[in-house]
Amino acid sequence: MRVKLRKWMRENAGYVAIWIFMGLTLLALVIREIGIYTLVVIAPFLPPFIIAMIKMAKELRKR
Amino acid sequence: MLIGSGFPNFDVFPTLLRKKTPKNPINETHASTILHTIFLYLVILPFLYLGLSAIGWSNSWNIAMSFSLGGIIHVLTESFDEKGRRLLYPLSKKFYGIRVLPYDFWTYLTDKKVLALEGGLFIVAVLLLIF
Repeated sequence: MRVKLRKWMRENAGYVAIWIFMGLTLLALVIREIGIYTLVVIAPFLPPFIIAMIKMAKELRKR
Repeated sequence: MLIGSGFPNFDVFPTLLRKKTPKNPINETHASTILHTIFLYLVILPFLYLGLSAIGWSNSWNIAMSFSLGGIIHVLTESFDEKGRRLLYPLSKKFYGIRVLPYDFWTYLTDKKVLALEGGLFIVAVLLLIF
């Protein structure tokens, strides 16, 4: 399945907004709970997460 | 617990570094290694406890338990996808689970029943973090 990501995101803006809202809310609550240590928790996972998102976007264009 | 629950995903690296996408995402390395087994976290538990105690950390048992519990919950939760997980490793290398959720990341993100499930988990997490 080939996906035009920008078009898909425009058409499903509500869906994307719900995911972003859930992620940011939880991030804010974790920061409120453990403060600066949030960085220790999320830092190791940020690079693979960013690479995974970039790779997924590339693969969706290719499919 | 947060670090432990993220730890199994370090086996995503071969998937991220691959040049060719396998035709079936289920065949990729991610979630097929020992990092996605309950066994590993049961083995890590005593060693982490002893290691943390040796360097004088207080609450070393709580930290070790939290880490292992995070890893085990990750593996058990993911066993609900169509790939399943090696729940009985090293006794069996077969993938077990209740296969009701999609495995492929894009399909997962865009599946309505996944959003409902994640929404439910989100509400539980918010309640736990607030109260």
